[in-house]
Amino acid sequence: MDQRSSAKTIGCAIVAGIIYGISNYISSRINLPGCSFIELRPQVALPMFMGVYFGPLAGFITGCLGDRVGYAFQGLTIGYAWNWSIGNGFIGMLPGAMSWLKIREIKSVRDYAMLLILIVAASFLPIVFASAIDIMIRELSLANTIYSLILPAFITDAVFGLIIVPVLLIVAGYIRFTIGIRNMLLSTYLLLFAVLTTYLVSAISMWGSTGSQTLNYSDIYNIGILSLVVLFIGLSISAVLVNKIVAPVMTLTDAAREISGGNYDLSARLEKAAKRDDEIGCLAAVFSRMAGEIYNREERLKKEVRDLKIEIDKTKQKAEVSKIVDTDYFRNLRTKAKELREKHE
Amino acid sequence: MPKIISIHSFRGGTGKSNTTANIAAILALNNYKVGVIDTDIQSPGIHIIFGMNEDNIHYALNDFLWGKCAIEQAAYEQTRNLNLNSSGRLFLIPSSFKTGDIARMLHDGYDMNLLSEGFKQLVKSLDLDFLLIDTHPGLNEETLLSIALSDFLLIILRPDNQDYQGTGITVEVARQLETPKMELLVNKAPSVFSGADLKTKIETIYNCPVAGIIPHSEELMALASGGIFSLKYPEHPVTKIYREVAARMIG
Repeated sequence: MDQRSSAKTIGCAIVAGIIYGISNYISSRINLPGCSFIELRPQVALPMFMGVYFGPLAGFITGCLGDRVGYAFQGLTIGYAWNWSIGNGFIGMLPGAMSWLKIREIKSVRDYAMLLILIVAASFLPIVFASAIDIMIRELSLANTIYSLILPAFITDAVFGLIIVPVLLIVAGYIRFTIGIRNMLLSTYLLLFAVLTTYLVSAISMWGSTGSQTLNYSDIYNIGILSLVVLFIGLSISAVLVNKIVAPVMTLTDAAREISGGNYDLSARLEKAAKRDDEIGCLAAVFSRMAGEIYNREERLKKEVRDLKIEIDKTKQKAEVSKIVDTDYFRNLRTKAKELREKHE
Repeated sequence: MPKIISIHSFRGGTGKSNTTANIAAILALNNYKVGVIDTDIQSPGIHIIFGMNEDNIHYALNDFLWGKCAIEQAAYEQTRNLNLNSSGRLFLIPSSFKTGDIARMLHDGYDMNLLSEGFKQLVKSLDLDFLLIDTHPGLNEETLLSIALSDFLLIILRPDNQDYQGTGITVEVARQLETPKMELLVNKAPSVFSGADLKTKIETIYNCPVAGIIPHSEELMALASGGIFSLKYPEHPVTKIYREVAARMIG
C-alpha cells in the first residue's frame, strides 16, 4: 500500500518471514502417518496475506526469507533448494498483484474473486516453477514430480490459503463487509467445508479399504484436484449469482446517492432493476416512482419560482395610500417630522 | 448620533418581534447602547422573547402614556439577563400585557405627542445609540408616528401576495414621510426560492434595497421559540443575515 512507509513494510515482512520460517521448521517435523511427503502447511497463508496487505515485495520477502529460515533451523546452508526459496517468495509475491490491480480494499465481488484466484495461482505457479527447476537440475521424472511434489503441495496450500487468508484480511480490516462480500464469504466457507468433508471422507475410506502400504496416492491427489475443480466451479457460480443479487442493490444505492446530490431523473437508470419480480424489484420500482414524484415537484416549484410574479394592484394601493396620506393627521405629522429632522441637522 | 429605527410589517406574524430582538442583541454585542420599545400596545409580544413576565414588570409603556411614571422607569435592562459579553447595553420598554391595560388603552387612546416625547427622553436619559421600535402591524397613527420619527425603517415581509400589496402601501407612505433610510427584510422565504432572484425582483418592484432574505425552516421555527436565536446559535447562517442587517443599520 502506498501510504505505508517502505521501511515499516520491510520490517513487517522480515518479522513475518521469521515467523513463517519457524512454522516451516515445525511443520516439516510433523509427518502425517503413512505419507512422508505430504506436509500440512497452514502457515502458507502468511506470505500470501503479506503480499495482499503490504504489496508484492513484502510478500516475496516473507516467503523467501521464511523458507531460508526454515532450512537454517534444519542446519541447511544457503545453496540448498534455492529454487524452492524463490518459489516461496513467489507465493507471497503473486497475491501482491492486488495492488497492481489498484485494489486497496476488497469491497466488491470482483475484488474478492480476484483474491481467491490469486490465492489459487500462488498455490500452484510457484510450485510448478520450483519443480520445473528440480526436474532440470536433479533430473526428476515428470510424473513423479507431479504426484510427489506439485499436487500434494498445491492442494494443501490452496485449501489453507483459501481458508486462512480471508480471515487474516478481515482481522486487518482489508475487507469491507458489503452485501456482495458477505454473500461470497458465506458461499466460500460453505463450499470449502463441503468439499473438504467429501475429500477427507473419500481419502479415509480409501485408506480403510486398502491400508497405507498399498494406498495409491495418485488417486487421493486426483480426488483432491477434482475437489478443487468442484470448488472453483461452485465459487464461480456463486460469484455470478451474488453479482445478480448485488448489482441492482448497487444501482439503488447509486441512485440514492444521486438523489442526495440533487439529481432526481432516475427512471431510465432504475428501469431494469424495477422490472425484477422480487423484493429488490419492488424496492426499485417504489424508489423510482418516489424519485419521479420528487423530481416533478421540484420542477414544478422551480417553474413557479421562475414565473414568480409579484402582483401589486396599483389602483388599490393608490386608494389605500391616499386614505392614509390625505388626512389632517398625516399632513401634520409630515410637517412635524420635517421640522424635527431639520432641527436635528 | 443616536438612531431611531422602526421595525414594521404590514401584517402580523412576519417575525417582526423576533427580528427586532435579534438585531437589538447583535447591536448590543457590538458595544452599542440599545433600547427596544414595544409600541404594539394592542398585542404586545416582544417581552416573551426576553423572558419577561408579570412578576418582573412594574411599570410599562402604558403607565408612561398615562402619566404614571417617567419613561426610563419602564425600561428594564436585559444586558445581564442575556449574558451579553460586551460593553454594550440592552434595555427593553415593554407594553403592558395585562388585558385590562390593553382594553383601557384601546378604549381611551393616548396622547400621541407623549409617545414621541417618550422616544426622545429615552434616548437622552439612557444615552442610547439605537432605539428600536417594535411597531404594531398595519398603518395606524402611532405606527405612522414611529415611522415619521425614524432614521431607518426596516419593513419585514413574507414572500406572498398579501404582504406584497401591503408592503407597497407602507413603502409609499414612508416615502411621503421622507424617512431617510428604508430597507426590506424578507422573512420565511420558502427554500426553493433562489435568494438572489427574489432579492432582485423585490428590489425592482419597490425600488428599495433588500437587507436580507431569511429562509423559512422548520428547524429555525423550533429553535427560535425559546429566547434570542442569534445569541444561542451565533454560527447559524440566519444569524449571519441578522448581523448583516444590523451592520446596515450601523451604516
